[in-house]
Amino acid sequence: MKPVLLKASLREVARHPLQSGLAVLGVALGVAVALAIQLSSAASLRAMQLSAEAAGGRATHSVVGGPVGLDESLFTRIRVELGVRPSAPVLEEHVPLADRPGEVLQLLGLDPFCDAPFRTYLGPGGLGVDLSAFFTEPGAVLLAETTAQRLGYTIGDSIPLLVGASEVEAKLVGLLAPPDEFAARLTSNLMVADVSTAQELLGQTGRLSRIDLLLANDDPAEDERLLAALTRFLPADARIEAAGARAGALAAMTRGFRLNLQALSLLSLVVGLFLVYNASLFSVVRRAGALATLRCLGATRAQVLRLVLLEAAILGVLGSLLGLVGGIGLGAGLVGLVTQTINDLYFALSVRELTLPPALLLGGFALGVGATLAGAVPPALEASRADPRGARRRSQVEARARKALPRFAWVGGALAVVGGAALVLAGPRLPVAFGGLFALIVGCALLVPPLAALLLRAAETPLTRVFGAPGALAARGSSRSLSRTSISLAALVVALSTSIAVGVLIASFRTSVITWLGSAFTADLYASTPTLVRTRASALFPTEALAALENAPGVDRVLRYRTQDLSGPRGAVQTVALDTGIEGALVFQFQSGGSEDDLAALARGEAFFVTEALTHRLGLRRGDTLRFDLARGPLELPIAAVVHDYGSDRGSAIVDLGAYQRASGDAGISSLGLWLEPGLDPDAALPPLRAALPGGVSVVLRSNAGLRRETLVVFDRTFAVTGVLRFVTLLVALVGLVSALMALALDRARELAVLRALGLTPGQLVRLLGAQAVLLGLVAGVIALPVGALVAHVMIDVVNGRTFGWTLLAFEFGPRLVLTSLALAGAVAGLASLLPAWSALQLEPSRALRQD
Amino acid sequence: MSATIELRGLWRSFEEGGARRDVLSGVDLEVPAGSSVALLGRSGSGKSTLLHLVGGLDRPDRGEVWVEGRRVDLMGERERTLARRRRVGFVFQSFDLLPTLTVLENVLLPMELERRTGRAERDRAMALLARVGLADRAAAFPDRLSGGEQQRIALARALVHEPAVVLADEPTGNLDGDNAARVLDLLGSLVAERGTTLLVATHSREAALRQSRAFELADGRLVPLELAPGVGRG
Repeated sequence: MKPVLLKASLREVARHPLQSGLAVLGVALGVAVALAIQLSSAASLRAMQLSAEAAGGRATHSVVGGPVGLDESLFTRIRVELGVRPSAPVLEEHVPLADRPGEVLQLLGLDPFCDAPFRTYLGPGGLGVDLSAFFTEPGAVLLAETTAQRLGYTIGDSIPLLVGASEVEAKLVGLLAPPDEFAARLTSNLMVADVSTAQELLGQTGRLSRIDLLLANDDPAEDERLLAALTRFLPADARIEAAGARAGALAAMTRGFRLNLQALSLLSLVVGLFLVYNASLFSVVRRAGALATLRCLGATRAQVLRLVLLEAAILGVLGSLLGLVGGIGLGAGLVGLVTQTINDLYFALSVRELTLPPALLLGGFALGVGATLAGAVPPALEASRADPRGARRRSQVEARARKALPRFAWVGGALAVVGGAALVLAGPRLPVAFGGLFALIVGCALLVPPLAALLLRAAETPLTRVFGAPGALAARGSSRSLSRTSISLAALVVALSTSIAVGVLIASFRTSVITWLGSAFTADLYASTPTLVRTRASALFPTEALAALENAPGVDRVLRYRTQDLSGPRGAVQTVALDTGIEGALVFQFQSGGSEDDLAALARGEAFFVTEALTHRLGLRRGDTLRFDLARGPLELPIAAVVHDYGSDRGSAIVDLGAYQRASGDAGISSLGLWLEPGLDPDAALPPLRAALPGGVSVVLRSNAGLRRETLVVFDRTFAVTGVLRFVTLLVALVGLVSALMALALDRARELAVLRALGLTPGQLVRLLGAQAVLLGLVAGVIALPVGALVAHVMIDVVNGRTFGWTLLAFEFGPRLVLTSLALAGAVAGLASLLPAWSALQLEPSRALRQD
Repeated sequence: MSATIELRGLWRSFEEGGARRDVLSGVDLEVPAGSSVALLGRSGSGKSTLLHLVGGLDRPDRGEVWVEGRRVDLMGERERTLARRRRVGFVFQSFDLLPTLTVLENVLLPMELERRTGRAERDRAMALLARVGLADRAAAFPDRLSGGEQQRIALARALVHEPAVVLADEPTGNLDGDNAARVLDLLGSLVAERGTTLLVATHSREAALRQSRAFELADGRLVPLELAPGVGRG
């Protein structure tokens, strides 16, 4: 690039600060959103990894147990009878701090004498603290020094923990001094206790979560032999897991959720790409004469191409840098929302920091610059191919740009067809499905210019009839400006249709959840232990509280639930065992099956019912057999029915409580449903029932309405991130439209000055520009509605169907949505016209008239 | 005869390349009602600026602008706009018809802005179009017309609301000899019929000769030019 051309590029960018600024802002917003989602997602993944690494240390394998863990005697037998020396017992649980709301620590119960080879990060040769208090003090625990400082605890302090239904006291007896920064990270969320202390604190005397093994034999055959011997040695409900499986399983669990967010975040970048295209096109059209002069003076086509691309690159670099800063800020905000959703739906996770992996930052930067350059390529090619004589006449460039619009339509139509085909053929492959969805959306957007031209032509006559010349001015002005505005309009259609689609998806999902809640939860009240993961209640319900509630006055009948993760050949499955004999227990929304015979089979303990999310995840069908290995032998039953259930995207199996208890020997209860005697008001019954509970246990007692409310609160919180993404995507579209309308106002400066000379008042000018913008917005809205409905349909299939295996009970696309979407489109466009109108008012008519 | 336009000690300067350049340096002028004045001068001598000041499109740095006995330079933006809309007609060198409006809609525009959209206004616009010889093109869009035709429509638009003053900025600058003469004839007769005051900025001596008086704008000041007797009007 010749220095003079470089100078010309830089000056071009600097001479139009508002236009350049808007393009930079568009790119920055797109990059910021994409990066923020990547960062918050990476932060949660990293937290999962750290949590798994902190707990597992250098273990190569672990022996894990069934619903109630392992009996601790197994550890001694493995060590003594099998001679597996490098082994260590572990009991772990996430525990909330009662006096620090929102803080959750990972309580890790260890045996310091066996643990040294495993969790080396705890200190060389052991815990590195005085162990006498650690073993002798009741409830003795250790925290990393920095963690204790952060939480404000000093040695000797009591730390109240919420364990299931009760509050227990731990005591800080020492501080861990991690040897390096990595160890410091691993320990930042840990609370370490002796395994017997942990058992006491967690109320799990004699139980272990797992036994870690270090099979570092040089001879793999020897390892294999040992593992085979171990497998034969283990009881039915225990199995061996390789290290890394844990973190992998955690990551896999949230993969769909994270992928959905990433896809949505990329959409705002697509909208930004349209914006860059528009800005570059405008710049090329505006400078048609100057570019032609350059060609006349001997600049090659390649030089002109590079010149335009260089300008785009300058905007791209500035926008991407700004986007990185914004992305880090937004990521810090979003990480809370993402983590909350993972906590609500999957497992307890504590994310303390937003790490900034250089690869992600570099990727975000490259994405921004790449998208900017991609958006600038067509206008740059157009500029470089123009005939120097013809290009001097701006109208010819304009005419060529206008001629290109039908080509867009063809490309758009083809893209939409390819996208549709990809969606049909994608099957369960989510990236292909999302690729198809993107192609469909962008394809539809490219159909916008010809469609908008048709709609505006149709609007012209009524507008002229009703409003006279101003109406004609608005309609025909909008129509004539399409070569300038249609790309922004397409971007607005992408943003609006996505917003409509996400709105329909959420509304349909919400209605389905409400319908499901109404049919599946029929008891008057529900009682459970406090839980970290809202969609699960696996902690033991205190027996004294169970007895108190069953015998409380006003309680007609009680339905007991036992919710556990059971293991079998297909991995762990959440299983809900319930009293099938209780009236009101067997209420389901069936997807398949559900006859009287099926219900009777479930009640007899001869069949499972499964949720459709489980059938999706494990590839099951009605009639298949499901098997769990429990302490007293396998529980193997056919699947008699598939039911709708939106409680968990992991899915669950439903079985008779008696059948479960017989196979597992687990008599524990997780939660209760209570029916009151007829005529009693559930909300009024809550206080006396709470009073009837024995002291020292904390049981969460909710009315049916309260439970529904809370479920919907969690639901709404789950989609809060989506809301942020929708908003930013619309914001990018708004910036695009502002940019296009600015270009248009500049372009029409002379025409507007003549109108002012003829007596158009500033107010009338603002109204005229506003009316044109609103008209364009409404056109975008009218096009976005059917596109949005189509995309919603696909999203419901891709997001809910293929990601989570849910079919919805409703499709919410009503008049209210239509009206609010149109109003939103008009409002966004009207808002976008304010800055151009203000800028048009700043331009003195006399100057505009003199300049021509 | 009282003056329709009166300029007293008018100064106007512009920023150019970091320095200020005086375009008007104490201009005084009186234009009696119904008379016409031609302003000659080199490009950039300030002719358009002077018209813009009279039309209220711009404000002087110093001095007074009186139109029909009212101080235009002291009016607020809205008041100037309304005054211009009602009492001033503009004709531009490049015609400046709105491309998105038909010929008739362009002519009606000044009255549309006043919300005067009745049958009478329409008839008046059609009559003016007939007067300029383009009644049959009322439904056409401006880009279908020749330059001369477009300027004749611009004349109709400038006069349709019966302004007291018409400000014409190089009205024949973009026209060939025949068309220029036809436009000047029309402009002269239309303003004469209505007793409208006319201020024309022009390079053309031919155009200047048709006006009552002519001035040359040089170094920011108006210098009277001698015209052949009996050519101008008023």
